[in-house]
Amino acid sequence: MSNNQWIAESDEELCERLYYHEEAALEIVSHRYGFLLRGLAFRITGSEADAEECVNDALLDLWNAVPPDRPTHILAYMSMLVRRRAVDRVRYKTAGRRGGGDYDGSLDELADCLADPCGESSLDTMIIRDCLNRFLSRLSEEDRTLFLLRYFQFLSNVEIGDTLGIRESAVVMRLVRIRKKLRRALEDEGIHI
Amino acid sequence: MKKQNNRDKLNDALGMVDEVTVQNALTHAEVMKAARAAQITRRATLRRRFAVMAAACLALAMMAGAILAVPLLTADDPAGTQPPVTVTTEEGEPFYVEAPLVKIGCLSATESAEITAPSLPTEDLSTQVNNLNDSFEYFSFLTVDCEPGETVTLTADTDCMAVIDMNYDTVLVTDLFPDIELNLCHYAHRREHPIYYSTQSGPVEYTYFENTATFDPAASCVYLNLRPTNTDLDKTVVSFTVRNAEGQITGAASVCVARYYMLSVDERGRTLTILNPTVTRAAVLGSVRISDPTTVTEEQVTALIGEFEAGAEAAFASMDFSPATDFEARYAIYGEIISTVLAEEESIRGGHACIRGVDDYSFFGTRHEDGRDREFIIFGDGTWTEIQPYDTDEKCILSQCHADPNCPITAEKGLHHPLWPGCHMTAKDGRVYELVRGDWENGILGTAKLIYDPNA
Repeated sequence: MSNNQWIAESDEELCERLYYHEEAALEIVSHRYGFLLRGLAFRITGSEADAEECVNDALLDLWNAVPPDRPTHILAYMSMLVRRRAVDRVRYKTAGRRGGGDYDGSLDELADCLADPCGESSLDTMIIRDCLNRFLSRLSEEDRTLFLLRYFQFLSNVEIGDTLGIRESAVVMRLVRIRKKLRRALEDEGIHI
Repeated sequence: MKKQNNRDKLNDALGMVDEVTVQNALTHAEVMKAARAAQITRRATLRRRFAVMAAACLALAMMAGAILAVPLLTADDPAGTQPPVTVTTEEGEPFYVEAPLVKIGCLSATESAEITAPSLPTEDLSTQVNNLNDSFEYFSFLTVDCEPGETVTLTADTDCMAVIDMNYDTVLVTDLFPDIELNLCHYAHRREHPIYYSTQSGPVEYTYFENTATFDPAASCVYLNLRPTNTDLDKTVVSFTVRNAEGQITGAASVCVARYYMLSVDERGRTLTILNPTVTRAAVLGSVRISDPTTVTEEQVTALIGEFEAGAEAAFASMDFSPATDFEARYAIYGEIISTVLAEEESIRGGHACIRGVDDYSFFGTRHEDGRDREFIIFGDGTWTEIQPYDTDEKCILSQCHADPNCPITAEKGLHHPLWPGCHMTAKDGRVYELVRGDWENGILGTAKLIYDPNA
């Protein structure tokens, strides 16, 4: 396949080809987004080999999920699949394993957003997800991007600052504010763990 | 274990958020990254061009035998005496102009007047103490200069309570202290209760909110009450966005306000004094008016404010908290006195000070839970001494005076501390001082003259 073909396919066209199980579409996804996806997986797992495996597994997940799923944004969809694979891999492995990025640091920051006054309870992750979606929709675009770069993509504060053109201290400050808002949003919806 | 569960649940939920949301965020990040790269290139180009132009101008000036003076516009020029400077955007069109939207007023605390607050709920002393320890201490003063019909939204990066005074020029403190623009709240209060201050013009309502508020001033004074922390030095960054009646952004600014406490954390926790000796500093990190509100986007303004706020650490690092004014030097003395008293007492449950007292004397007092008062006079050279508590009997307190037991000077009944010309005060070390009136109008503080020293 020529380089021009790698570029020409839009996400909509790719999704359409994936929906009809065209293997070439999978190759395009791997070629176009593989670097970014491996980066995400590496920040979580800390291992290039594990990251590679996670991306490959996620491509298989994509193949198996579409159809019936019909994603509209390949990168976002694949990011979620890769992330899930990488997180599962980290949990499966020993506790001493640490991510190459800011995985643990990011999650430690988030942990305090959930109050834990009464002890453990089994709360459906889907409920939290729905609350998160509502919360994210209320944020400004900049804050939403900042939040997801940190807690979805696990970029470091420095990397986020470089991406958005703001200083690391401003990133930190804004994340503090956003986490406070998230905590309030979760509490307002009665989500305590 | 519980923290691990929290992490896992949130992490899993984050992995399942809406796909469109994730995609938009990733796209936005790429756009910002590309814009940033272009901006860096453009600034480098502009710097090179400016350097060439400056060199050319200098060469011409030197040839003509003249020296050019280039005025600099400083970011923290609260008086706004410099003309606005246009900053170009990547398209070469002006996006905003630097303008004194936010000005820093008198930041350092001073004493309060006796202000009645009839709407305050009745609270016992222990509640007041708890509230004070949990409440905000006092105000820093910023003015937001807006056009009629504009609204201002401010956000802060720390717990911060702002009191918006819509008509600050009618506030009591200004009536009593026309040369001081700031007063401080000396009552412990709960955040949810509005506080009404009686003024000569009538009640003024202060509106409290946390961290974010919107108000609609013609020209307004914002009193920022910073939440005390368990550190000796804390700061907050407050950013303002101004919008017109159509909701378009017409201005933006950021200010870094920092405060240094002269009392230690333990000392602050043990006092319910109206005087909180601190030094406050502020710097305007950026203050602009938008050139064309119809075309500017929220993202552009947010990014601009982010750049302002990113300068907070550098501004903070360059602040000098050593006492710089007579007020601040006096607060340092109050701090010394409070520390001395707390070394002997469990707590201070009240207090007062008069910089501009009844007769312009420098006087400081602390009240204690058992009803005792301890009183101090502060001399013109900044030294101080504790004096015997005043006596409200008509009999002259000079019954305590060792200099002249038959002194005819009498105390005026009803004064909460004796401040009259020629009053004799006996210090705890036995020395007797005669209070000398100051001249506040001319900046001369009252002092005291030693008239008897038992050890001499």
